[in-house]
Amino acid sequence: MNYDKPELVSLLASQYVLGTLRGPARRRLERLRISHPQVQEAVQFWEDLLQPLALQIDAIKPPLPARAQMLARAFEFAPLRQPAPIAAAPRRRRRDALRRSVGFLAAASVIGVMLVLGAISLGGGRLSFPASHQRADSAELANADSMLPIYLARVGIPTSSMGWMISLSPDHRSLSIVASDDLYSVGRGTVQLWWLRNGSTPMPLAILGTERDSTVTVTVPPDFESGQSLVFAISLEPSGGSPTGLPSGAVLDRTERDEAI
Amino acid sequence: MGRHSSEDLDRVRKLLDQVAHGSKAAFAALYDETSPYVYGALLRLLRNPQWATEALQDCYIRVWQHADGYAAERGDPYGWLIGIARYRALDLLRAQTDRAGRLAENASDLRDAAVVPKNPETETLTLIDLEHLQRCLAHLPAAQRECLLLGYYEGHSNQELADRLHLPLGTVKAWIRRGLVRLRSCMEEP
Repeated sequence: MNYDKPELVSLLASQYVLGTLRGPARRRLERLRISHPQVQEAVQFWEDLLQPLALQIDAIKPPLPARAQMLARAFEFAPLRQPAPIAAAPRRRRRDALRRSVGFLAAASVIGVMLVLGAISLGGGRLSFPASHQRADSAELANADSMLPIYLARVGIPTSSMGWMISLSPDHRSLSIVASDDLYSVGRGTVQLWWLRNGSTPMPLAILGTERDSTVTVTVPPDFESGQSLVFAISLEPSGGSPTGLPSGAVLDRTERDEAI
Repeated sequence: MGRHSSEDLDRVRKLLDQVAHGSKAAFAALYDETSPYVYGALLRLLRNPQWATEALQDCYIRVWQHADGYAAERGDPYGWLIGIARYRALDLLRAQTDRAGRLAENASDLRDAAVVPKNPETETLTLIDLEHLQRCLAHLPAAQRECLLLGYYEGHSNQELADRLHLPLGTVKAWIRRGLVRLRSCMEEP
C-alpha cells in the first residue's frame, strides 16, 4: 500500500484514532506511526480533531484501591528527570473569591439557611477527635514525595468551587482535610465534616478550614477501615460545631458510596 | 473546549510539568484531579470495571514515565490523558479478540507512539472547539454519525458495528469512511 498518498494516510489515521481500524492494518499503522512522519502527523491531526468528544464523557470515580496499586507500580520505575522548582500556588484574585461567595450564598438560600453576617470562627471542643490547623505550602508538598496521602473523597459547597479534599495518611492513622479555596464570611457558623457509618449515627470528624490550603488533621476513628462504607457529608453548623453531636444544620454535600479500603 | 475552566486546565498543565520533572506528589495530585474523567472514558469504552481499572493504571504509569511528552500547545491535558487511555483500552479490546496473543507484541509500540511530542507543523487544529465539532457531526447523515460515535465511545470494530446495527459490513465501512471525510471537510471550513 502506498503510504505516501495523503488521502490514504488520512483515511487510515482517522479510522485508527476512531478505533475502528483493527487487525494487521492497525498494527501496520502503529509501526508506521513511529517511523513515518506523515503518518504521525495525520494521526495527531485526527486526535486533535476528535479530542473534544473525549471531554464529553461523564466522570466516574475509579475504585479506591486502584490509586495505591498504580502509585506502587509507577514508582518502581523512577524516571531520570531533574527535580523541578515548585512555585507557590498563586493567590486568587479577590473578585474570584467574591464570585464563589455569591455561589455559597445562593446555595445557602436554596436550603433555607439564614445566617447572621459575621466572621466564621473555628474551634470548639465538641469534636470527637483532636483537630489541628496548619498551612500546607508547596515546599511541604515537594518534600512529601515519599509520603503520599491516599485520596478518599471530595466534599464541596454546591454551586461554587469551594471544596475540601479528604485524604488518609500513608500509615492510615490520620485523615487530612484540605480546603481548596477561600470561603469568605457569610455568617456566624462553621462547616462540619461527618462520617456516615453503616447502621449508625453520623460521626463528627472535624470543623473544616475555610482558607485555601488550610488543613485539618484528625485521628482515624475506630472501625474506619473495617469494611465500613466511606461516605462523608458536610453540614452548616453553629460556631464550634453541632451542639447535639449530630448534624443540626443544612447538609451541603454528601459523597457517593465508596469502597472501603 | 470541554467542561474544564482555564484555571483547571492550567493547574493540570502545571502538575504535568512537575510530573515531567519527577515529582511524585504532583503525580498523585494529577491522578486525584484527572482520574475520574479518564476512568469514565475507559468504563464507557470497555464496559468492564476490571479492565477499565487495569487500563487506567497502565495509562498513568505511562504518564509517569513520559509526562514530558505532553505539549502544552496541544490543548486540553484531559484530552491528552484520555487519548493515551483510549489507545490502551483499544489494546485490551484487541487482545480480547485475539486469544492467540499475536497482537500483544506490538502494544508497546503504540504506547510509545502515544506520547510522541507534537510537530509544530501539525498544530493546525489544536484548539478545535466542541461546538464546531458538534455542528459538523450534526450535518452528517444520522447513520454515519451513529457509526462514528459508537466507534469512538464504545470501541467497536467495523464488524462489531455491522453486527450491532444489523447492516452489511461493507455498508458500515462505507458510512464510516464517508462520515470521516465529510467531518474533516466540515471541520476545515472557517
